[in-house]
Amino acid sequence: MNLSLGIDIPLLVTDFMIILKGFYVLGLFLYLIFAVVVVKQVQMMTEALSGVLLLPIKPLAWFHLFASLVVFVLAVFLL
Amino acid sequence: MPANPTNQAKPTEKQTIKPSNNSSRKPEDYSEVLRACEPTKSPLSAFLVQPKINFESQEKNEKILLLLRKHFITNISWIFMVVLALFVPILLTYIPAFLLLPSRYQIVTIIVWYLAVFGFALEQFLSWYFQVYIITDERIIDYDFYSLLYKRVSKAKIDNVEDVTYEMGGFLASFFHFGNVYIQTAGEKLELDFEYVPNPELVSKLLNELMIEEEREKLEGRVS
Repeated sequence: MNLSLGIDIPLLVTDFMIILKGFYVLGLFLYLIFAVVVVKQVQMMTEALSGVLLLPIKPLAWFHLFASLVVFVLAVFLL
Repeated sequence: MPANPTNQAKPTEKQTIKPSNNSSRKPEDYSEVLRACEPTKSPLSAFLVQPKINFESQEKNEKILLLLRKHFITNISWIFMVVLALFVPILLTYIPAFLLLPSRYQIVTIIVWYLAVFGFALEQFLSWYFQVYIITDERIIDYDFYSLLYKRVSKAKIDNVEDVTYEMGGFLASFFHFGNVYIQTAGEKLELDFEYVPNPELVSKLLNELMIEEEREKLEGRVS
């Protein structure tokens, strides 16, 4: 379908979706870096404080990193 | 009366004397606060008495008497935000722009939203959990983690503490019994502030007991 202005709507939509996917992938890549930093932060914190009365925070941080990686891969291949 | 250790070998300058003979006193011997409080078992507590925790610059014979965090009620604002955020995807279904997206984009958006909420909650929890104030039988330590990879550790010896003041004001503070403790020192770091800690009067009392014990140790010659 063409508008009187000569704009091809399907092509416009395709371009928009590519740009949108780019934003998702870039955002999730930055979030992945944040998740890596959180793991490093937890490592630094547990080095400063250690003992039996501390919660298992490290597995939580690693789970967060793993989940971020999965969502990033999902965005790359699914979108 | 503790035995006079003057006939013992002279210690080196770096050695902190805590001889394992009758001249050293257990913290429970001179602290009414520690006698009254049971050692803490809950890892989520903000007032941990004699916790089984170690910190990185801890000396060999140094014992942690009290580990403090900000009162748990100070987390209520971000917990409330996280709970609200859990319901945001439901509101997305009322936004036309979101409904125009292909279904796979909608699914990924919702997953990303919950991941971000989890990350936010984790970061806030870490900030509360590891920002601690430690009172040992020798020192006072303040661990501050300002951002993701920036920490500041302030320490003061009990010997250098000159004044301890605490305050407790406001509805929440009075209801949940938390407040601020201000510690004036003679060291490089002039004041250490323990903010929103539970039982500030007990913290103040313990510090005073430790200061008295340090004076007693100096008089009895038990410290180098």
